[in-house]
Amino acid sequence: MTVAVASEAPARFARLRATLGAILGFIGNIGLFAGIALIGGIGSSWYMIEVGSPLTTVKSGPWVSWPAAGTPTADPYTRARVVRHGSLPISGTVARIWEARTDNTGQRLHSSCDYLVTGRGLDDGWWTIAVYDDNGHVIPNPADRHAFNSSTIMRSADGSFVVSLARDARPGNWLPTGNAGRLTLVLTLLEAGDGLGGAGLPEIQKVACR
Amino acid sequence: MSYGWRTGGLGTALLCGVVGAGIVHIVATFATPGLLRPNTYDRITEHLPANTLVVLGQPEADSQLIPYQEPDMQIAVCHYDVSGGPVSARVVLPSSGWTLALYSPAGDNFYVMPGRDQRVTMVNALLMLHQNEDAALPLSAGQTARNAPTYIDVPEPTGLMVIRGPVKGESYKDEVANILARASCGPAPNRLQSSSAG
Repeated sequence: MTVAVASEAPARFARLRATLGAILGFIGNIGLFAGIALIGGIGSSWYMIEVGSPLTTVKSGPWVSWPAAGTPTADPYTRARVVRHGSLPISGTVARIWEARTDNTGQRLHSSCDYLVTGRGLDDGWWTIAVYDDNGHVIPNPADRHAFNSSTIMRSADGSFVVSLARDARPGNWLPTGNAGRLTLVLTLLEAGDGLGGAGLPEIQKVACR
Repeated sequence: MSYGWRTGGLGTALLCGVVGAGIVHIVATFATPGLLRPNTYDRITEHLPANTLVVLGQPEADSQLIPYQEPDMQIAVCHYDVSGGPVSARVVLPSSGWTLALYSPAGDNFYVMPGRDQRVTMVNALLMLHQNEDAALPLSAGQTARNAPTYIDVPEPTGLMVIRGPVKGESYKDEVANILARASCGPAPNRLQSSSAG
């Protein structure tokens, strides 16, 4: 009898270990499933809403446009983006809105750096270029200057223009960036003819950082 | 045996995780507009009386109601409500850059009228629900088919009418403000008469 009990103990321990292993494996698999489902699902949704894809956006250098923004037939990603940003965009049938959050090298626009925005063309229709902070708010500055448009911009003789994004005053078309942190440039074109296609959008070059 | 079970479980978990991620992706995307309340429409209508045009002017850093609002445009907003009858909207769009845009509570810009250069665009519109089109108002005295209002179907009883006026320089501010101040949004005249008669 004593011998039988002694021989059952390792077997029982092995069964217990196997059961425990199976339970832990099951819990691990459930965790893996939940992790992939939640992180993958929410992460990919966030990416499609914030960054977009070729299905929902048009890109030209650092400029990104969501053509369906504001339209009643907008896809779910564009619709979610518009609500998330809280803007009231004019329908893409009349206006094309381009956003730039990086310079031409792909680095994030930031108020600690100075930039030159150089544009050519943009001769047709009404357009405006504005700078905002990361939440879409205008940046407070003593000059109360937040944008230039096709009427207020100073052009060169060849029709080109240069806008300076800088914290301190600059000659010409200066847009103050203050201490806003991350910046967003928005170029809105109303019935701009060829300009709607993305050709001739301004280049954004970093000048210096502090 | 145990190793094989775990391998099978891992594969199943990965596969189910990918399928689950797809479901979560779809649910999160479609749920985002509903979850982000109050939205822009809620925030704006909280401050505006119904069927009254309010000139908000240009955005300022400490009082910007609409994110990404064009800084060099003055705007006027009307929170229209056609549940009691048609709403009349009148505005002059003197040049390019001017727009009249109608938005549903979900933020859809279902109607937009841009201004044109070298042509003054007069907008005289009656906003009404599609199902109420049969109740279109008859021409009143002195009104001809030429100056009769344009009927605009609105998808929902309430929404926003936004008029944007471009400020083409400091000297244009007052002119833009005056044009916006002359615009109107309110119950259609015949509706006013019938309600006062009742």
